[in-house]
Amino acid sequence: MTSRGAGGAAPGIVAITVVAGTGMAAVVATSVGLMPLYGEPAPSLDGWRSAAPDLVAGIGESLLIAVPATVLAALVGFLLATLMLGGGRAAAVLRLACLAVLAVPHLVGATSVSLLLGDGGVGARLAARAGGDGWPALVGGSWPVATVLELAWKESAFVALVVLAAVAPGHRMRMQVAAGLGARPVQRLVRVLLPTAAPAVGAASLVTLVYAIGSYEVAWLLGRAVPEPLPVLAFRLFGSIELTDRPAAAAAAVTGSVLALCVAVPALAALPRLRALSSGGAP
Amino acid sequence: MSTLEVRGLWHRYADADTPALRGASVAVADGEMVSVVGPSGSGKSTLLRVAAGLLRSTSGQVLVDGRDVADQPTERRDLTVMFQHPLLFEHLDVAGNIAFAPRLAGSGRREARRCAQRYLRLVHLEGLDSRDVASLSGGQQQRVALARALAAERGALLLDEPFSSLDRELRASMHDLLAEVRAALAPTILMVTHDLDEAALAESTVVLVDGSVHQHAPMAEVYQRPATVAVARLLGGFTEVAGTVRDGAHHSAWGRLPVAAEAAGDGAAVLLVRREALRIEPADGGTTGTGLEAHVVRRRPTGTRVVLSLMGSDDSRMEVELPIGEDVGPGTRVRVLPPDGRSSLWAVRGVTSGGNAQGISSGSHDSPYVARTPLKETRS
Repeated sequence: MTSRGAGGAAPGIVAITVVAGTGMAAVVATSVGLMPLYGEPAPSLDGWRSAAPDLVAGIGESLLIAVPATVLAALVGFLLATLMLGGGRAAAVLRLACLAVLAVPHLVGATSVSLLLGDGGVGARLAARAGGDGWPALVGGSWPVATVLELAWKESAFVALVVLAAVAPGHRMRMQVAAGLGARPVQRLVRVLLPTAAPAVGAASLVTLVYAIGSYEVAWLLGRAVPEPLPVLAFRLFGSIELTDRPAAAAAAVTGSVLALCVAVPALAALPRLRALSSGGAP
Repeated sequence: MSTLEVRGLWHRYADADTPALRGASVAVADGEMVSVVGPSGSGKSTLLRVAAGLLRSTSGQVLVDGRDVADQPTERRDLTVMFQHPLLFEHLDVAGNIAFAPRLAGSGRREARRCAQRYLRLVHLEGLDSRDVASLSGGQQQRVALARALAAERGALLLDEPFSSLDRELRASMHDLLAEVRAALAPTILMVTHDLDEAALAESTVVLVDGSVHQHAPMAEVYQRPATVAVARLLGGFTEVAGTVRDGAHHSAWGRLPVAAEAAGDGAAVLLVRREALRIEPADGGTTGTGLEAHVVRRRPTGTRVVLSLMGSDDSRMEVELPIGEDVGPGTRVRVLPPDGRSSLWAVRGVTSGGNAQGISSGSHDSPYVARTPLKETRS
């Protein structure tokens, strides 16, 4: 980065450092007893010790939600982008639909999914009317199906629009060149569109994954009670009437942040190489 | 390689009032190169895109080796297209781009890259096989695009203004390269261009005006004997003289001037004279019978020569390119003389007035190109 570029980025760096850095420092300090709600600060790992079993289970639950939701969002998003790249009226309708989905808050989406897939929801009623024996526990069941579906539903629109923005310029001409070189539609998809879109899909998926790891409201509304994903655990402990739970809540928040960093840092390092990785430099 | 022929192509864009192509026909023999020129909006790129299958024609045939492929998608037409911009695949390196078609055809990765090396040598880019395409210059990218198109080893190569985004020097080097490639591989090429010098690289040139083929002939013949006034205007540098052809001569305010036997038959006709073939002399020079009195409206230096714009005594407009070293100022009264009588002049059917050929019917030349020896100098 040039000195001029660094100078231009300074306000952003300062804002990120102040907001995120200060916040993280406060949470870490709280988790080790340096910022108690009352009493004197005293270094302690009690919060971590008390939350340890829940933290381990929370990591698993967070990944159980975030990874499938991200994979689904990436697949559906790429498919939507491919359809929108085709142009025409259907593409315009799809684009509007994606924008509408993005505008819906996750909380509203989660409520809708609950009404759709919950025990007394539309799906269960229709199944009962059709003579179905029992509706699976999609909401609050042992597998976070509804949570994953809600996140995937909303984030697939995000992935689709990011991929569309990245790939649309020059897309038609690239396809025409490939067709002129003898590429059939499937070959154009696999050998041109997919590798061209890979960096955008990767970047959008990374954002989705990190968001899903840190997302609280969807899992809180649609997930099971135990184990809790890290954000739900942190939120519950933070609002606990036991004031001594505050360090444990902070420990859950720190764990969630570290988990997100563990995913994001290697992925960010790998992103510039995605193009090459997708094809190995030769078709 | 293959023969390529388009027959009677019609195409109308959805939002257009008039067709972009009106029964255009072009034939390219095996190993031959044909260029297509025309004014902006004449339909030349549409012709190429229809031939490539990138647009569907309203009617007409696209024949590759005699097989009609008009209903086939692009990838099944045995044609490849190279556009004005290289449009290289950025996720692939240089060799990867060139190896794209061989890989599609089933070649193994190593074999395809070996194939790419051959074409890289052909376009003089040895050693750049692993380079990121974004790091190449515009000229290098276009060479890679050419190599990629050649490596596809399709029956015919369609070039859509392939070098127009390059500067003059690079364009000249690409022309040399194209000549080398043609000598080495003899590909069948249909090239659309707006550059008349580039068009002259081909064995023959199709002049497309308003979607119709006005002429298909070697460029030298197009220059010497434009089939219509529209063709002459595309080429530029012609003075149009309205008149009548009778008994093998053009009659007008310029007098009686013999025309070539192949020129327009008896009836209204426009004499087309190259501006460099016209001569001027002082208005009181004493010559009578042929020529026209005029006064200089404007002078325009073009390198070593001066081009005069003149207004004739009959209000017609004309241009004269003076010999090197001669010059005449605006307002000077002169007599414009036609070429001397050593050779016949060229006239086409139609009427024009004041340099405006609105009344001239277009598309009157519909005979397909038949190879023939280019005419010797017909200008005086």
